[in-house]
Amino acid sequence: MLNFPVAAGTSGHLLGGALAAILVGPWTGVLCIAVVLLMQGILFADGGLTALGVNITVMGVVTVVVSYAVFRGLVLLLPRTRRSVTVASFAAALVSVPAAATAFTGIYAIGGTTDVPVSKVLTAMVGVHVLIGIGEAVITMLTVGAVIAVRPDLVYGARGLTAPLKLRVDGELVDAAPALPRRPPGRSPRRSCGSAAWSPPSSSPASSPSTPPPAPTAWRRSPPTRASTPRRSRTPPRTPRSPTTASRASRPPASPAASPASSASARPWPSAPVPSGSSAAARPPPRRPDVGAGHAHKLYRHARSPVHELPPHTKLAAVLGFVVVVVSTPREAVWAFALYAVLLGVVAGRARVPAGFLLRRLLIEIPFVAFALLMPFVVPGEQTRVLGMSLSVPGLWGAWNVLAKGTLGVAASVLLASTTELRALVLGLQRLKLPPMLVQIASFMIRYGDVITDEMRRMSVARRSRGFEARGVRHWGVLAKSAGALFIRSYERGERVHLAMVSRGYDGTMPVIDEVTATRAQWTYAAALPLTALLICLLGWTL
Amino acid sequence: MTGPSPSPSPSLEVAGLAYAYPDGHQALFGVDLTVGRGERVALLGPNGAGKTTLVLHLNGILTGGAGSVTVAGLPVGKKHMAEIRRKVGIVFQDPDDQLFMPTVREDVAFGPAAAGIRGAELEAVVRKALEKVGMAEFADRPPHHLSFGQRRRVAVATVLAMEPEILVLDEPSSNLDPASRRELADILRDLDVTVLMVTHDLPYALELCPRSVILSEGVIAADGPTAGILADEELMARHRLELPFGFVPSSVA
Repeated sequence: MLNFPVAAGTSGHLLGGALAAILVGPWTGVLCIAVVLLMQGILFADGGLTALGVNITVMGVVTVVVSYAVFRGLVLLLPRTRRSVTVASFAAALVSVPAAATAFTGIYAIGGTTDVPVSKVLTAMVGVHVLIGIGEAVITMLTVGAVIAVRPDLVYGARGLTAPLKLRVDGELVDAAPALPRRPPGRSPRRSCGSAAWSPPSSSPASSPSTPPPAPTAWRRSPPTRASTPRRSRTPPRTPRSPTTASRASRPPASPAASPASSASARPWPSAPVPSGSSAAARPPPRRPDVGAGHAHKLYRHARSPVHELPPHTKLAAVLGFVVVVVSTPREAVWAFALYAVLLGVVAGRARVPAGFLLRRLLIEIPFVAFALLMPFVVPGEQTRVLGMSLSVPGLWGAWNVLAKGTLGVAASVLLASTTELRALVLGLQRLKLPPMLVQIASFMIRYGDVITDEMRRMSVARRSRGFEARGVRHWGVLAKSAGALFIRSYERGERVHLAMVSRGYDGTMPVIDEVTATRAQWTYAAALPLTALLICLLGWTL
Repeated sequence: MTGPSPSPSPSLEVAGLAYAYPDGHQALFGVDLTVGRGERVALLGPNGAGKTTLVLHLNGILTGGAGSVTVAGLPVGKKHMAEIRRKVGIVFQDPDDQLFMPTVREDVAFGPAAAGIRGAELEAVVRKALEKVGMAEFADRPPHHLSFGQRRRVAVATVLAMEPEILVLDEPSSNLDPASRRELADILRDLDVTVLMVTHDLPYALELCPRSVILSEGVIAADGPTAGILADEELMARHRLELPFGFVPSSVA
């Protein structure tokens, strides 16, 4: 969730794929990052739903696969010592970030819709990402180093010792009969997403708050600061930057045509609402037993309205449909976008979401707006003069295109998030046949976000109680060790939770407990939004 | 060892159990223990004695060492794993580990649902289990919003919902305030199941369990009536067990 604006209008940030791959293995790593991106896309419109495919490919698959390949290769080549493992993780992270940037450029070259030249994008992306890669590599190396010092068995390539079993007979130790090949205890089942898989994403949201009161913004720098610090070194992190991998994974170089980047998602992650932890108790008891008492997230606005009462999956489908329709509208049909905005206004009215609330939530878009405003200056093409400045006409259209579609997409997401509880969203995703593994990871994120946030806060309090304040680069070591420790704690909690699950009959699939259903009337009601939008879109194409 | 085995097919039978973790650390060195049907037994022992390791063998989460575990006549192994997991209800120490679902109701429903129960029957099972621990009106709350004592009680309910043959509690009284501790004791006393309670809380063991065993250095070091064991100062000292200040077991019993 650390984005850095990159020249020529794309953006970059820490990815975390390497750390994920090294600590939990490539498969789980990709899954974790995919879930983080998905939840971000739905809740914050960070990266956006339409860019989800690109995001997962670039940030999940490319970084994880590349870094894992580099890591394994180096571990095989180097002597089998702990130092080799840390060195290999440094190299893996270093290579993976520019690799993702290159992959993004490739995708851009194939499908990009803006007119920024490919070579310019490549230079900008890879250049900046090499710098980011160095930072990422340092953090990855330190974190892996911290983990390997305590739980070497958690790191691929550095595993276990065995000794023959003994029996204590009258105080004497005697050799026991040779045992069957043993399974490692906690980290047993490969398929267990319950165990390892959830921990990284769930700790990711937590990565913010280590400084209690203003935590969410403590390290997630405010947009202006960030804009002026393309590299991290100027604002040293105060907290374990990314306890785990996926935590930093947020959004890859955003595809320019995609929806707005909230590099500065000033809003805290949903499942880690307040750093001060349990303000929860004061919350009124949930009034929607049908979906269970979800975790109220910051974006959610409790009310009773027809929109709130719609089943979550119908709302998800409606928003998705709406976004797709909006994105496929020709940009020249300016009036169509105005109509879309009116549509959303009607929905907001029905949902009793006040305009002020909605507009404040839309601020998430600001960093992206900055990018759109650059386009008229950098895109080559026919020039026109506005207020004495020479602007390119295609650039202006591009900026309008991005702005209008982005704003509408974000507004729709914000409406969805403010009328649907997190728990209901997950049930909705399940109903929409999202792969069960992803649903499970997401629901564990919700359950354990607060728990891990509390854990982070306790660690931070303990650090500061002993006089530690992170002031600069030389304190990164301490922070990375904290990140490593948090990873181990989360991982071990994951193991314990997994034990509790198998103890109650978990066999890799979640039992069906709640089935959300929607009546035809509810579907019709939900479909009103995308269908009207589709009508407008078709008009936009024909007129 | 010397443990009495009153019923022909005891709830739990452990024989010659030894186990080492993959990192080479060996925790169990040949444990023998029998728990009869309906008994309430306290498993005492210092930190690091292997208590948790033993517990994880009871439902087959840890396997592959030497020795055998039998639950109600059924050997713990791959073949009967699903049934074993249903028969052995483990309540873990940290309720945040035990309660992994978004709401109390879903959490209690997890075990029965995994066993294939659905719909109205599932609701009935959940309600009954929550009523047994006095938490029925919290069904729709997220576990994170409950007090620690309430979470511990819900954790017990999650296991009771599976109607286990033997209830295994890992440090049930830890981190509870005195009132929650007593409430939990009342609940446990009224249950009609075999109980194996792992604890450092010796007065609690005396209150709830007529029989105690001491696990020390990976073997069962003593087995007998709780009052007798707690009164044996030499035995207690040898295994790093200490009564709270001012507590005299004979005055309670």
